[in-house]
Amino acid sequence: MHNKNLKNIFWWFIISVGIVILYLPLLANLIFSFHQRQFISYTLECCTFQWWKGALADPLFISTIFNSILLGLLSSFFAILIGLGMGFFLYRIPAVRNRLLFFLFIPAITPPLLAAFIFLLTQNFMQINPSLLYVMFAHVAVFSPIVVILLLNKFLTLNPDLESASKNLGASTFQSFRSIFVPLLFTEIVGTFLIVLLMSWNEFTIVWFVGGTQKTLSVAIWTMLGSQVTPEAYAIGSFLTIISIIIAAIGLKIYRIKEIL
Amino acid sequence: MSFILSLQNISKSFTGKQVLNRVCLDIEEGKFVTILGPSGSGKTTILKIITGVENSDEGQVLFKGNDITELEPQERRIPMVWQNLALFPHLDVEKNIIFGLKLRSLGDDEIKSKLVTMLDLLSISHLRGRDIHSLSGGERQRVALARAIILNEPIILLDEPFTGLDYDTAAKIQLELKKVQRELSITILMVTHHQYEASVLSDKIAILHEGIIQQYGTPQDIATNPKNTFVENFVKKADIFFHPEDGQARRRADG
Repeated sequence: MHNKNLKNIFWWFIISVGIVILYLPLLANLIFSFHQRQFISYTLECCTFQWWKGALADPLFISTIFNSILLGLLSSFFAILIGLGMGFFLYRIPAVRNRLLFFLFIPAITPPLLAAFIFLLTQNFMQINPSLLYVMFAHVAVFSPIVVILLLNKFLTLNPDLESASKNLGASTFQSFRSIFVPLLFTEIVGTFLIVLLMSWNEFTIVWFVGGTQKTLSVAIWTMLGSQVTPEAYAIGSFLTIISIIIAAIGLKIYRIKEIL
Repeated sequence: MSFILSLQNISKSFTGKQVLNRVCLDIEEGKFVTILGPSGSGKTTILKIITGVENSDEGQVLFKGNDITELEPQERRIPMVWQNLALFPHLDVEKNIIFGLKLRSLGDDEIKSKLVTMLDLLSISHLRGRDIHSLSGGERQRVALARAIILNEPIILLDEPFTGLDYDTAAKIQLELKKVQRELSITILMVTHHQYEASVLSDKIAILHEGIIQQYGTPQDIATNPKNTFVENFVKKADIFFHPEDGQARRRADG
């Protein structure tokens, strides 16, 4: 009994240390966004909303939020569109699937710095102007394979005769896709959309390399850190984190709803 | 004699292995025909070739005298009940049954009236709004049958339709199936490995082994005059073949 208690205490200690290591930096970031003085010290001087107000009134901050949202939504939309179509194709043709699956993992495991460098080279080679449009193209290229892998995983759990059955009842391939597979994969599609949105929202390297003057929130924070660090940077960082947590929470909620159903 | 469906020299190989070898089969209108054979004999492949889900390497499929070999599955209008039923899990019973009718652009009133008739015919009116996951094996089987029969085509295909059902449920559905077939005068082509089911339900049986039709005839013909030792040994396993006149099961299925 005594030993069991000791074991429990040990595991609770490990879990608590883990939580502190994970969440303390995020919490510190949030707390110091309310620091009264412009220069950060280890002693918190509580509390002011001026950095948040300043950030929200800053046109640069607003434009970077707008850019991040636009980039995230468009990248996710096109990555889902391509990933879903490709996932359906690979689901239907096992011979191609077995050969192609390995290559799909390559963009997912390529180091971000290398991927960004490749897109920069391509940009220079093809003389494309730095823009969010090109960043979106790069995000779609990097994230689509991840979407394929996530959705294909779900496709493969479905009854393999569903498409044949729907065609046998008179549905075309597109009608089968629309009326059978899209509804069956709906929660996975929404969940994957949110994952891609989150990845695009937080992605820094590609935007930094090929985005030119059009910044996103993560690049704006990086730029601020390069000069003087003020609590405004903490406020923007906290904003980025809060939005990420909200997106992740919605994604988890959707998956949980499905589990309950 | 008019044949609603004819298979002419159908051959099919998968990765070099011959699954069907010049299969010929003529199915008369209004009959209950069964392709009977052991597992791996190519039974399901025949149905898939008829529905267009698989393409044959050679040979033709004729439906009402027309060559449908090159038609897409959705253009063939030969509904099938799949071995695993393939009911759409996100749709309830009603939506599953009317799925094919909706694709045929029928009016809502016509769809509703056909649905009510079909639910009554298969005694599943009480299941109408139920979720597919909540149904028993027998109930799912009836829903799958309703989904195929409601299309009002002259023939339906059944792929091992009673697999996984207990004896009583299977016997009950067999009776209903026979009744429905007579009432609607539809042709049924069933595949099974179960000698008993085949002898109970069929007007004619085709014995398939290693991709070749070994014998095609009435259960009595096959029982009394097997063409080769495979057929003789295979049908021996079901006593009913050899004593169809005494068969309790045959009498039950005939009502």
